[in-house]
Amino acid sequence: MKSLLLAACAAVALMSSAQAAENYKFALIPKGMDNPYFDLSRDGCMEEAKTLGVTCIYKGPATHEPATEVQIMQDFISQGVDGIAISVADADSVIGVIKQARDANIPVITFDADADQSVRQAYVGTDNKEMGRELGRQLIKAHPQPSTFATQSGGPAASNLNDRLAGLYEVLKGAGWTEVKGSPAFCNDDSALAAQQLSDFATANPDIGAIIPIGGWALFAPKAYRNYVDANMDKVKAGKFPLVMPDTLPVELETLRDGYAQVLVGQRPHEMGQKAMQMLLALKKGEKVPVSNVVGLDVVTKDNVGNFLK
Amino acid sequence: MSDSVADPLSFSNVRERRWYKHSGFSSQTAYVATAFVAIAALVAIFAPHFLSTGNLLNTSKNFSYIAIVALGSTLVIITGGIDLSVGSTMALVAVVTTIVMKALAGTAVAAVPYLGITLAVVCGLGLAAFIGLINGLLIAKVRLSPFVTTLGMLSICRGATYVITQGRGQAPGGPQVNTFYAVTDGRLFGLPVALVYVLVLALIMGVVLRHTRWGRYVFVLGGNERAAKLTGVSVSRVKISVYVLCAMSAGLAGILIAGWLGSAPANLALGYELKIIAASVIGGADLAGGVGGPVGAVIGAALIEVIRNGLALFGADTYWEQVFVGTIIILAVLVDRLRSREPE
Repeated sequence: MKSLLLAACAAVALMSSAQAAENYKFALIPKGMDNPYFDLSRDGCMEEAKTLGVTCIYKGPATHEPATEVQIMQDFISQGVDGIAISVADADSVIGVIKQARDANIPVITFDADADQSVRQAYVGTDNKEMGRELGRQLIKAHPQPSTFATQSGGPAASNLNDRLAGLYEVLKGAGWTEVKGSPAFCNDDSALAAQQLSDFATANPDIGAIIPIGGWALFAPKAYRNYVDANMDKVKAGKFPLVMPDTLPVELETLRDGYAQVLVGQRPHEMGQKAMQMLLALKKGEKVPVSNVVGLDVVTKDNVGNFLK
Repeated sequence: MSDSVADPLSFSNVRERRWYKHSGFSSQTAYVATAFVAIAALVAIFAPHFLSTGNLLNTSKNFSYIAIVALGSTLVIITGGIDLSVGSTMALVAVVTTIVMKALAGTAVAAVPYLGITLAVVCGLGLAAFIGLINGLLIAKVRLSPFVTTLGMLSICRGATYVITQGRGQAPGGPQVNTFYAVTDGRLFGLPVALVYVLVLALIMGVVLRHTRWGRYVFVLGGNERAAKLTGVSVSRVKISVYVLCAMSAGLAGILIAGWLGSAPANLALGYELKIIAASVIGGADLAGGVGGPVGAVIGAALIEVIRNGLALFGADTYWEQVFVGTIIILAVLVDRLRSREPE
């Protein structure tokens, strides 16, 4: 009887806390709404918000652009949201606005891309250096003989991409690989340009051992990307040109399933969206959360792609 | 040689011309073509893979999208106008075409072969024509400035693209999607179809500009709009038509890019309006109106792509492209100015 009463009390307490939490509105700000990668964070955020009984507002710049991102964050501060999770487009430009939010007593965390010089309370995301290392390790596994390589990044300013590059270089150069001239190429998140740049690398360096971008831009132009692979299919089939690609979005999983990539090293943006809600709720309630929260990586090959495609 | 004659009654426009003003050298298009050949030769010498079949196919396809719109944009520029909305028109039309194609795939339309993709493309081009019509009406009838009108349209179309897609890329789909890919990204006589479209459209434009009344009116409008009006040219009708054609060229290029990529991302062709206007201007179109042509537009677009591709093959930093293209724009108009300057 006593335990039953306790359970009932606990249930009531839980329900009331859930009810109180229902008023909380948390903002999730992606770098750019047109990046399909963030769709997964949004889905994770929405699902977890429902479970926790809070509201997730997903809004960011239409396309990757630091100044607009800061303005959107300012708007959220004016609206008085209960917490903000932001994927930082430019680490320096958000320092002021994050301070502004904290001064207004709004908890702020970063997800996916960090700004460690700011007063954000926590970060949840990939260990980008480790992701770069993993890309390098998978390439060496597929092509043990050191050779030449080229890589591609989104832009020179994003710190998460630079960490990834550093990890990739550490492993590949450590194993005796050499980088060709003109690498890394920067595609400004433009998938058409990204596909062209991969073709250009292959044309300029016919004997290149691998072209290994650190983001999935080219794969978002699936047909142009496949044309590029088809042009080099002889080398791919002979095992001389392994296709190790980042991220595991649906379009990339299909690419691998159809033989246009051998290994995908994926981040978990969905989990980042979920964790962001949990962390903001904890901070709002005055609980402590660890500063750094690393979300793991998925390594997808032909053997396990079925589990991911579902 | 009568150049040195200082007779106050001599007419500068009827005297014998200096050698560099003779037909072969007399237009910006001609020496930009020479520059193009020189740059392409340089790239070919120092980057041996430039002339490989694969690379030539790639570059000729890549430049075609810009070239098609540059043709339309050149028409507008000849009349003394400008169209800044072409990049966003490309994106909106590409996105709408793919969405219509996918939507029709699930309906009775799918039963009739090729009807779905045809309707989708017609819808896309129709939308483009409508965008051009609004631009043209506002500019010709309401007399708004072309710069401001098309700047507004740039924003409207890009915004609409994001509203419709919520920022998500749209992939072409449906039963005949492979036919769609064949007509947008296949080969014809061994050439990429996009290049074939450019050549055919440039040829038509060249003939129409030179040999039809409408073509003459386009030039007259850019030369002296008031005089054109006084001589009975239907100024507003010609003006509206060039904006419609320009928008349709953008729509066509957008559809072709969607076919090439196998996707219509919402940020498709972001900022391309500047590349397109640059191609027209490098090729000899004068923003003051009255001068320009299809050959120049195509060569201007080709020059920009050769610079991009050449730098990539040399292994140069990606961002040098913009510096070089900017320099070429200024050089092209600078040389033109020096050449056409009258002797003191």
